[in-house]
Amino acid sequence: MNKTEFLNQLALQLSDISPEEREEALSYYQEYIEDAGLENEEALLQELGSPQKVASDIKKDINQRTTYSDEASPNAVATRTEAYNQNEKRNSKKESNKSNLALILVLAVALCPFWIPLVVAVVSVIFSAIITILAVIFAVGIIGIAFLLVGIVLFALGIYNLFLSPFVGALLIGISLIIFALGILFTLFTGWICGKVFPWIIKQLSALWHRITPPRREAHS
Amino acid sequence: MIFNTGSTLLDAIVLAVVAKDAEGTYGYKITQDVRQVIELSESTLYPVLRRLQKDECLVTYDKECAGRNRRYYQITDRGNAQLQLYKSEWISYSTKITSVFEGGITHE
Repeated sequence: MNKTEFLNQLALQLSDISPEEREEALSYYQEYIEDAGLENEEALLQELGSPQKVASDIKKDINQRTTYSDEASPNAVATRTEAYNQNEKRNSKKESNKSNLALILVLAVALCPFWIPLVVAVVSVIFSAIITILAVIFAVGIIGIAFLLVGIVLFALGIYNLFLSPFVGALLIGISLIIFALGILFTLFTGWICGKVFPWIIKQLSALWHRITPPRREAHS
Repeated sequence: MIFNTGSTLLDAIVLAVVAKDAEGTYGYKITQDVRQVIELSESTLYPVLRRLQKDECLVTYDKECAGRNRRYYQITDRGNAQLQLYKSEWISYSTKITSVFEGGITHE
């Protein structure tokens, strides 16, 4: 096969691609063979292989990027296909991820009249629940302190009444002791909530936050 | 050579070869230069050059030479930027591979 034959065959093989593409490829190979020089022409044409092969390489690349590999390696073909498939898979995965994200964004914007009030409602319910719990705990603490004070005052009154009327005095002292005990109980409960339970909740919340937002790692390509 | 040259690495090599000549270089010469470093069939480079041209990493111009036309390829700013990226990626990649080969895997 000589240069003209090779180019004619190649033109024939490339008849199904666009005229511009075909023209470019043909002039490239024509120049290429001429640059190699007359004395190398035969060896070069041998090297280039069949026009069919050259044409199929050109056509393949019009749509796809392929992996070029060392032809001498026995595994070349297998590895090439594998790499090619992986590339394909990765590309399609990326594509679908991208389109999924876009879809979610569009849906989120379109449905904002529904989910914004919902989010506001949920947040307010949670907020009011927290405020209520805090208020109850605060109230219990105040009651505890108040009971302690009332207990002390009633005890003093009871001792005073003991001299006037021993029964009334004993009754008052008994009531004062019960109220004082309740006061101790309530105060201890509030102290336990503030000292142990709150720090524990805050620790759990911060741990949860760290789990949702993992520390940024260097992206690997 | 038992390692495959992926299309990205081939792009990088071609860009580097073309970048060497400020005035640009032509298909046959590019192929011979690339063949100095990796095994490559004579017909492999046309699709690569075509694609790099489509990606605006290379531009072509025609020049009369010894009574016939020759198409020259020249690197663009975009091609140069791409080449710099490839170079830095290659350095980090090859450094990692070398460190694994030498047994010095370091956890950062």
